[in-house]
Amino acid sequence: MRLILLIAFCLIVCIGRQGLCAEVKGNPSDDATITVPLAEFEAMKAKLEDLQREIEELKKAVSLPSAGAPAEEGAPTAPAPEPVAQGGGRAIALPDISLIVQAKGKLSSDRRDDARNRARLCEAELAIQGYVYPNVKADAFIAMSPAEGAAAQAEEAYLTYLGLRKGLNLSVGKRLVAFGRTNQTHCHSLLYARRPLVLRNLVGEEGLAGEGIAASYLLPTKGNLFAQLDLGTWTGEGPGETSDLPDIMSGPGANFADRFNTARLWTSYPVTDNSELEMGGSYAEGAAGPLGDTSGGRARLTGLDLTYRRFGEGTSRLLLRGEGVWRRESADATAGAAKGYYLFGNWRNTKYASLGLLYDWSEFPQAPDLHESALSLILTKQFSEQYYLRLQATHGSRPGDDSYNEILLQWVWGMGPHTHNLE
Amino acid sequence: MKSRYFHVMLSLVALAPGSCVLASPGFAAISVVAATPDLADIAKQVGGDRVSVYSVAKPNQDLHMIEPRPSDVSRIARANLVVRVGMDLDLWLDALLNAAGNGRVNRGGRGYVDASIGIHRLEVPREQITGASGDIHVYGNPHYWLDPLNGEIISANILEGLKRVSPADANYFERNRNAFLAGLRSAMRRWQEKLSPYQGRKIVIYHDAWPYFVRRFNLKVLGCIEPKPGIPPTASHVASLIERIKAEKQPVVIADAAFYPDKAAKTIAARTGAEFVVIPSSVGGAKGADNFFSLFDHIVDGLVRGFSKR
Repeated sequence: MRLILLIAFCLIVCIGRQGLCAEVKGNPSDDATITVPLAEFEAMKAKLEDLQREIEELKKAVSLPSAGAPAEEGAPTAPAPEPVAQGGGRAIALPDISLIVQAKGKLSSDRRDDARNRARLCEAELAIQGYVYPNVKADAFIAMSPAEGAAAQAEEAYLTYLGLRKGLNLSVGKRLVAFGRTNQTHCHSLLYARRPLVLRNLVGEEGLAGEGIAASYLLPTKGNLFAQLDLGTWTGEGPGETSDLPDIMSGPGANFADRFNTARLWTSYPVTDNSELEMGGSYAEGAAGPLGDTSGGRARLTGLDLTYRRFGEGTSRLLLRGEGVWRRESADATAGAAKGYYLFGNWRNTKYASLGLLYDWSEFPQAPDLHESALSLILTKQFSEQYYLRLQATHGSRPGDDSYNEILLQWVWGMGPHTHNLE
Repeated sequence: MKSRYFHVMLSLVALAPGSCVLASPGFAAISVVAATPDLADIAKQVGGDRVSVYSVAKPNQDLHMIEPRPSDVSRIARANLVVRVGMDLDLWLDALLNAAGNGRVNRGGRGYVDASIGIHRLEVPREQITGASGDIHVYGNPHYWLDPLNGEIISANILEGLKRVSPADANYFERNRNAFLAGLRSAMRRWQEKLSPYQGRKIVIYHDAWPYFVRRFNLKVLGCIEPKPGIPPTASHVASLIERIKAEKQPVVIADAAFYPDKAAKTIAARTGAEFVVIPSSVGGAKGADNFFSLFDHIVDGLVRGFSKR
């Protein structure tokens, strides 16, 4: 009906113009030139072009069959889009598939570092995400790490039951656990080229992950206070690798031998309309793997974190964060005991670039009397939403090298609609 | 040891300003959380005093780069209605919806509104999209609220959502929407009258957010300062834009929102003599642009100012 009305309107405009021109001419016997003010002619021409475009679009819309999935009770969902990719309509039945790749080059003055003075492909992460049932979301991340010689493995693969009860989500499967502020953040989404030293040494080189069940409950607070309680029970990936004296380069991470449990309370409050203050406390406990001369007892990890974010106009944002982690083992008061912290600031002025500063300080569970520290300057150039380059220059000290310098150059690129939970 | 740490955390939660760990039941207005200030304003106009409205995105924030805040999760957890832009512009809202665990406002729930339903979409991609295309939206250009007449469709979607959530107030919401539509049509006449002398005139914009607006008011976009959406301008692209502007017989206006980088726009204006005007692209994006109607008053007046200076 709209198509017919539009065509009729075009005809009326054309006929009307002729009639008007006839009046202007005043004499039907004159030859067929028409004099119209130029501005008016340009405006009519632009309007006609717009109408022609609309007619074309309407024709296509009328001729395409409707391909939307039936709406559930309640709100209508958006109609299925026209199939634009090759493969036609089947494309809309696919989950979200994306690939994120990370490569790093490292220059280091520490000659003990096996990864120095080379560029390597660190990780390629294939993400497959979608809904398998109303309010049941599936996420799978397959990671391949050629630099570590590891075969492809499921970095995370879990189901999330959304809104089981008001504010209650449940997840089942393998995933990065809720410990600390950034443990569940994938490395390509971090604001630095490597995890802070305390998290690498006491929690895990790639974070702390486990297979199990976790519940996330949004506490019913008053006002705009956000408070979320996460509880999980997991089977771990086994004890971590340690490097020992004198070439101690990293800690073993959480070093849980088998089952472990986690708890985290995450709170956040909007200090002003444009700023937010977050505080969190984390706890993890489980049987510890052997560490040095000790056979391992029960390892306990405790974490406290604080984050402040202030948002400006456009894309500008200031982030300040600090996080501390403590590790104890019950078998021996001193064995496996270690602590550490980091302080981080990041300023993003435009969406194309950000500047960061990171200070690390961390002990080693396998050598409690030793520690390392580092100060890093981080520059990130964001070329697009899916591609960035980062330079991280570090000066630090560690056992065996009181003063080392390191430069990391990180490339991250992605293809596809990769999304993450609240970070 | 374990319990002591949790007592510390729970104490911190209780002492946090304005907080109480357990909420007391209330009988508040319908709580609406909108993705953008524009949707929030329309929801307020339709909902009237039966609703309290909050916008996740703030005025003058780039909607492609919103970092969802944990405190917004609490608002969505209590919300009766969520209104989103859709068309993949506000994917960041999904993280908040998932964390909130509020089934009534999840996708497909009674309180879930996608304001883009029924919008006649422009610039829907017809070929494969890759990173080489820039940050293209699969479902078309999502800045549809910048055609003021799309307010009819947006308000219709919000109205349906409010009626689902509060059927007893349906007549009230209908009356409010009718008043909104009457105001919109009256304002539309005013805007068309102001811009009618400039029909067919060309503008240069930073980001490709204005196709709905230019189509409605018979303007044209000569080019975007971003060579492709989301891709920063290069020197060669700016140079070619300058040449194209110089080749135009009629003066061109450079216009876009304040939160985009203005260095390239100012350079182009200086080299070509084109007028550079800053116009808001969302409610609250300029002083005085505090509702849907005054937003377009500012946009139209800004463009008229630019066109009429030569």
